[in-house]
Amino acid sequence: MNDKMRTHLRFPEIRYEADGKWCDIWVELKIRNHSIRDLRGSLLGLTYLLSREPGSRGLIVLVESRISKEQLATEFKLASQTIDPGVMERLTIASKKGDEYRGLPDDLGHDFRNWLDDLINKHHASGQGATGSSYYSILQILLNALFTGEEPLPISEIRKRSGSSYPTVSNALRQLAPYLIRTSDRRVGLTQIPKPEFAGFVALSEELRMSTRFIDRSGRPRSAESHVARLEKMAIPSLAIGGVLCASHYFPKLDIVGVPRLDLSLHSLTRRPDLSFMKHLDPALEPTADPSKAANVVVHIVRLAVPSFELRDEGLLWADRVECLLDMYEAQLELQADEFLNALKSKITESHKP
Amino acid sequence: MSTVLVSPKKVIGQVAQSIPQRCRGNIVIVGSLAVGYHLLPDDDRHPVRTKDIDCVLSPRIVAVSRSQEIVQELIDAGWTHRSEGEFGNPGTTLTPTHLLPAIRLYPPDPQGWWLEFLTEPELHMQGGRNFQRVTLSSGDFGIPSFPYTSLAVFKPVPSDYGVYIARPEMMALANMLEHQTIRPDAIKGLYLTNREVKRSNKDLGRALAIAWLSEEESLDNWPPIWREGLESCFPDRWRALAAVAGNGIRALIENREDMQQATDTCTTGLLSGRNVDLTNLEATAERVLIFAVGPLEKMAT
Repeated sequence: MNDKMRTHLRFPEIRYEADGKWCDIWVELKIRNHSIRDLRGSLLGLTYLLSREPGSRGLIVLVESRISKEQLATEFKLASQTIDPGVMERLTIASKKGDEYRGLPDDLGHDFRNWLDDLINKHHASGQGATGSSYYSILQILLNALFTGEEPLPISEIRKRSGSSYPTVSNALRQLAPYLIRTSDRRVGLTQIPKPEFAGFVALSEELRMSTRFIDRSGRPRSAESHVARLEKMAIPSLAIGGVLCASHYFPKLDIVGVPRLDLSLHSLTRRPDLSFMKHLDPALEPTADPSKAANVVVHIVRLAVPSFELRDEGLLWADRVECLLDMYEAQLELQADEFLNALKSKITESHKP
Repeated sequence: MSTVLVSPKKVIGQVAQSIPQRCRGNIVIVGSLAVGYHLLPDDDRHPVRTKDIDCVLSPRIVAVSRSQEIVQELIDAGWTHRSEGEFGNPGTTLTPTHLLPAIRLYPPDPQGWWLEFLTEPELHMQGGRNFQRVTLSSGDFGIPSFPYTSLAVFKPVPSDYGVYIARPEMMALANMLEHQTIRPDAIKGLYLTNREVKRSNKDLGRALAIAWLSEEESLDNWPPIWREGLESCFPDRWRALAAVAGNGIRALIENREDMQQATDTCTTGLLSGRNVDLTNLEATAERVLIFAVGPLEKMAT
């Protein structure tokens, strides 16, 4: 039984679930969440819990959040004016950026940090970290089905492909309702591309897909084609070619000369995806977090339970069409991405013709 | 010891034309000129800095006779023996072989470089430098050979001028085997930033410069020819040599000071004007280890 379940069972009336518990500390994680309203909700939920457990403490950890120190101080001040001081003094808000924690209570040592790192990683792995990542997984499945002319999918199939629970799929479908067709035998499919939802997907794609950008340090970068040739020999399972190369495969008329960077999609459900193959692909490549540096290779993690990769004659796999689109938008190849999207749209129109 | 900038193709052409046609097939050009010939663009903007043009007489069995023929013809054409330095005078029949001067000749219109003759070692030669005595009209000289010279000239590439040019990847391997550790011995008279340059750093740096200049996928093709060369030149111990081929590069990566010196020798030599720094060469070294050394080691196990 995990900590969440214990919270829920002990205090069912408060309808609040913390993410974990370390000794007497209840911990709530807000991963890549930038909403003050969400933070207020967590503060309140945690104070309900602390008021019922006098000996316990509460900790909210904002991971990679854009909420500023000033906003945080204001929010904490407002809460202090409202909430019982006896509860407030047991509550802490800390933040984590990169590997660095700020504002953790002084008495918590390395063991706690290791536990907290682990908790955060588990959340990343389960897809709870990025806002609505399960929702976008479901959107990706439906979009791919639309692009490939698949019949509407049974909900069980969406659950199978996404690895999501029934309520999660249901919630996602509710949000996508205006764009859906539902058949009498409970199958679901998109009738069109949900523009605002897709735009949100594009905006969040780097975070959702945990994209890791690699740059060359030799001064003699290898070409994308040369990397692919080497990857074919390395035969890494669950690795798919994405980006421009993949889009050109699906849409040979794509108007682009050369391949500005290599996009790879790695299917991985583990907590820390294993990117060690990159050292063997080209040891001159190193990961960078600097967005101003043009990446030579980018690896995106696909967390669908069953990815829609396609077989590639030369070995490896092709990423799905949605991955390709996201790769190109992420690489700021908007013209080409739009061209590919239009080609996909025209296929939809054709397939919808009587 | 000063060096001059020369155009590889021009100088190789000049040297080849001076050598009797019947002997050209026994000459393999090695060293920076050979690297430049293969890997630098054929224009005046990419000269090579050198002081000597190293010619390997191959096979070893013809080294003495061919050198006698070639030197005589060159002397007749106005070439002159280099008389400067420690071994400036010819030896006599009484001079021990290992103390004989090498054959070094200036062209008739001196341009700052000289021609030097080497040959391949005897099969199974284990030691360091070895000399073969040559008696010329001007006195006795020695033709040196080094343990891995035969590897450097394995399957050389024929040039338009009749002489052969050593393969860059084979010269790289010869340098890597010559320096399986970073030895302290310095190159006499060569200083960079007021410090003596270690021979190991220069030679391993050369191997890295070759890798850096090579076409992007050619490193992947090095292991098969490396293996072939090792098996041919060292049939009894090729596996043992393959296992240690990367040791020098690994040692270089581990020592920042040595790596910096190797980089400096490259940036003042084959990689001059190319804005290459230590990070670039470190990454190149890692590529050599992963793309070439690793597969070779695997082949040998």
